[in-house]
Amino acid sequence: MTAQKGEVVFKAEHMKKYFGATHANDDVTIELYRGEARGLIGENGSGKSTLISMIAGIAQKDSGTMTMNGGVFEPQNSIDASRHKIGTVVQELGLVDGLPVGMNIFLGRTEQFKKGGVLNMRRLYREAEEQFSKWNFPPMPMRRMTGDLTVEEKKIVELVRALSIDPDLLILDEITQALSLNNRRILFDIIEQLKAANKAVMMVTHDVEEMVDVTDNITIMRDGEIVDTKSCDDVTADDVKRLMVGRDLKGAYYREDQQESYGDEVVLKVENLSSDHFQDVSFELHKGEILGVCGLSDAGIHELAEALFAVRDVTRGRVVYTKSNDKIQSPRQAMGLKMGYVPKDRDKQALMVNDSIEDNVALPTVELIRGKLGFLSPKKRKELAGKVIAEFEVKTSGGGQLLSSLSGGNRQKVNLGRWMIQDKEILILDCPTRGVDVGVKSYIYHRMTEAKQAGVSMVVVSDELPELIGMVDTLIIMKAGKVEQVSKRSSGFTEEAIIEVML
Amino acid sequence: MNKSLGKRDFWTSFQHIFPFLGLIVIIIVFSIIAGDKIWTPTNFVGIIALMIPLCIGGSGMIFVAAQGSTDMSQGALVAFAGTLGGIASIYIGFWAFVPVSVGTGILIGIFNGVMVSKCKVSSLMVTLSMLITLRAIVAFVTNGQAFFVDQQILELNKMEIKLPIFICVVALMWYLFEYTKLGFFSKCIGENQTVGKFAGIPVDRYKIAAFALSGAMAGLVGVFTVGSIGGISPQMGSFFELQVMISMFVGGIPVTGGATSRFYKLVVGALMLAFLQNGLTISQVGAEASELIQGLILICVVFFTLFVRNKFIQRQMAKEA
Repeated sequence: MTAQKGEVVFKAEHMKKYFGATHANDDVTIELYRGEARGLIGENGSGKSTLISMIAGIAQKDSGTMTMNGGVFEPQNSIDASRHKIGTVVQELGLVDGLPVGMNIFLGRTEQFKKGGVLNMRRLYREAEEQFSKWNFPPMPMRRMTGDLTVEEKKIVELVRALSIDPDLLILDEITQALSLNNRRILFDIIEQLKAANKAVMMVTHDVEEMVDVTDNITIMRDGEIVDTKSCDDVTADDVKRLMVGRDLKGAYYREDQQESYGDEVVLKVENLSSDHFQDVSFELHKGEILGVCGLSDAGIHELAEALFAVRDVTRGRVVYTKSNDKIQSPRQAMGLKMGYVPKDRDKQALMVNDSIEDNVALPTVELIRGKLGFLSPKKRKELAGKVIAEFEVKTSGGGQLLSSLSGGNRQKVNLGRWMIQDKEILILDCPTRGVDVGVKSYIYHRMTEAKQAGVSMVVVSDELPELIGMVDTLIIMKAGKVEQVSKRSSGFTEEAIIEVML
Repeated sequence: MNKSLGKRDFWTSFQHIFPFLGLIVIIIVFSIIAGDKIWTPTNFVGIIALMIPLCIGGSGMIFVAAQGSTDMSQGALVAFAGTLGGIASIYIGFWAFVPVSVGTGILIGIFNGVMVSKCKVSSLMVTLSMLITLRAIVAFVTNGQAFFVDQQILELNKMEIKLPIFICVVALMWYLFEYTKLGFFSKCIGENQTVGKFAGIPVDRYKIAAFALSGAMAGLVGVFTVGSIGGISPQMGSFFELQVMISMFVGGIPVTGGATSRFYKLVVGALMLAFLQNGLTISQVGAEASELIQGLILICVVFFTLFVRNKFIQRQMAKEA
């Protein structure tokens, strides 16, 4: 077990939580110490988020006891939890879009700025600004509406809010996924600062390597139970992965060859593509090539992906499907040319969250389902949904289940599966493994390799360098909207060298 | 195994049963109040006659509703298309009645659709303005007076002609809505327009198509309305759009559209409204009191529908966390 570092700051004993017939948490007991950074890891649906929501007061436990700073802790809501000095950044965004950034920082705690029933907004904004500079984040306009921020900016606002209560325990649920490299570094510094100040941090991430680097101890969950807690000094990332999945991961994680390999035929030609977010991007995509694109948050990589599929308007340049010499002008036309696109924001751009798996699968596959007289056969729809569920091992009670009741990883399986079961020639994948665990990741990489061998060309835009280094033939590094460097797999990618170019 | 599972299933299935339940309750209540009078063949024909325009109008409007938009202009369009059709039948010949009515409906619908999709004006604003405009034109053209058209039109009011047309049209629209891309994409647009766009749906085109269908059905209702009056009245179709909307909403189609918009809910809702109106009439409730009772009952139904739906969503959400 773990070496005790300091006194216990938080303890949860015999926590149980059921959702329907599933034990989301089954007899979970966990202790966190002062001065400790704890990693919490497990496959999608293993109960991490459930545990965290109970600690944060978002969900109520069915049974069990919690103590915080030695006292009994029974949070009724998240404000209760923050009064007990627990700061949480949840997985789903927890900000009010219609309020300015400054207000969101002090949401539920605005009493302190009240004078005679009137809020002193100037003081509130000033103090919110101070919070940002205190933690070394770049300043943000405090009066801006939160809804206008990017996902990454929102995550930072949430993080600053959690930090602003001066927490004894900071809980981060999959926050690094949303952050670009520069902001990740700021976060890791903050974790070090908190540790030095004798506070505790608990973080959830699917990036095992990162977790082993950042945290002191790792608690591994599987099927709603805690499997083990290991000190990071004596485990490797592979050990953790094995414990998580409960078996050895079959075969290699990434592809093994270190040479680029693809056909001579150019399938997609991008010429001087420009928009507000990027300028003069040109490249050629070959048959069976995996082309990676990376860059910091303002590099325009996600906007480029949107423009390739004609979802975003461009000011200049063009994307040409070389086989028929067609200029791609609309998503519909692109789909007709056997292109597929998995956007970055799974829940807002890709999936109908309040709809069934069946409908979500049918959306991009409708042409396969359509029969005589435009008939969309319910039977064929069921078959296709069943195919995605079976091939991608989606944990579900059936095709009729709503997406909103699936875990993030299972949603992503549906999202990718519905494109990969079709015979697409070109796939544009924006962060294909965002928010999924190693088991699913390794499966997605495996499917990508298979597709590559079958001659499918892919453009992979990603914030995760290891994945790009592990998978791509060609890597385009972008900086402030411009292509900074193009390198081939055989040149031997290293993370340090890539980051250097990005910065 | 545990309680919450049973509960969830209860609410899940209840959501689907609920519209039928409302219908059955209304039928039982009026069977008690009005006795056998409700089940005479003549009365039954009366109920069907009440339901037909609601179903036809609704079968067009349901596409707009599924997309999360609103078409307030349908009632005014009934009058406008009926009037133009009537005039055409006088000046061109009787054969022109139906094509002119329906064609007018389609054209106005396309205009609505273009305003909503290309000009990005909210559908409520566009169709409300259209409602006022069309009413004004009808008042101007008819000079506020009713006038008669070719009496051949009365043939259309005969059940043996009306019913087959009704069944064919509704069957066609049912098919389009539940089993083709048009209906499926409309529901997808209602669920999340961005997702639709990112998955290659030409959203604008589907919006225009939905409004065009709604307009076409308004034109057809206009034909039947003129047929039942035997002439053109400037007041025809008043509040028709609201009755169609009520049919959809009491049937359980969500105001925000999306995947839970189903055609059978429209039919159940239209039946519910028809039974309610007919029941109040044969129970000899006065006109004013009748409207009051209608309003109260509909509020109750809508409240319970939403209540049940929220329970259902809560159950689904609970599984998520």
